[in-house]
Amino acid sequence: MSVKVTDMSPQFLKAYRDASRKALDAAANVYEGNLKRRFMKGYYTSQAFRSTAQIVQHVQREEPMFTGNGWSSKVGIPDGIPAVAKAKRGKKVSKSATPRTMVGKIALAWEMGHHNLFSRKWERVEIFKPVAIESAKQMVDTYNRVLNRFLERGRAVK
Amino acid sequence: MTLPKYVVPSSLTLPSTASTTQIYGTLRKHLIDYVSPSTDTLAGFVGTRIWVRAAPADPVFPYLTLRLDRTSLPAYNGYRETAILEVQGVGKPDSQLPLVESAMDIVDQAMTSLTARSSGLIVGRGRTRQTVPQLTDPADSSVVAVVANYELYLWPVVLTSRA
Repeated sequence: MSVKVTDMSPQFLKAYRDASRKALDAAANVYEGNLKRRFMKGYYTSQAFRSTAQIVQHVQREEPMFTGNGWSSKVGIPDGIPAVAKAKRGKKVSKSATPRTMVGKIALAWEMGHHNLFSRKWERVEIFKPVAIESAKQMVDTYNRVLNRFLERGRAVK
Repeated sequence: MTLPKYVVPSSLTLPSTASTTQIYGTLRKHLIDYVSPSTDTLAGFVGTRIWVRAAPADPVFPYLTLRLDRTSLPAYNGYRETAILEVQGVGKPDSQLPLVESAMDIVDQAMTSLTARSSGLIVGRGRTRQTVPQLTDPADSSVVAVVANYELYLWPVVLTSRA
């Protein structure tokens, strides 16, 4: 008669990796939701572009990627989306007159601050960073809750 | 108690963490006083043009701006803060980019070596730095900028001292 002693670490590591991926995605989802909710209170005041609507439309989160430092996800505006100019009365909406103007660049200018060509002043409206700071605790709580739930579920299956 | 109404030159006792204004003053003075191993100082690049939040109207380029975001986790009972100091180096026209990058190199050195413990405690930890890509409308595309964020730990007197 013998008792088999087995190292379950491969199963644990796989379960942990899967659970932490879901947990990170859930935390990123919290930030994405808070970001879009915050945009509903109003945003940039650029006159040439319907900046707020376009930015809200394009805020999205990436699928988590596994990196040397664990899972990583990005929430923001993808590169390469051209800004659409405001439609003039009786005319169709067209692409911006300056094709190199991208939605992401407009957001970046407002977030980082810029010398504004129209107002001739330094302009800055930050949303991404303050929302990230405000969301940090909620994101950590969500991450822990989802991680625990999926690890518990993995244990029950085993 | 006389409340301060405005800040005038020499009205602050530095270094100090006794108020938010003095924390800003302490960080600004640290940057101005820092001398690199090759004896470079920020004065050679931006003079004393280190502004809090934003430069005044019609600024002289290049210049630096400072901005603090301070948060505290419940684990520290609100006493110890994790602060992000954002430093922006701004130049115009775009030929000033090397000047701005060099100025930010000195800022990097100064903030990496920061340990201010004569009043409360400010310790520099991690940092990130990016050259801002060329912006388009509505931004003036001839303006160049480098932005760096420094993670600081603060035990400021303004929070930790109680009567």
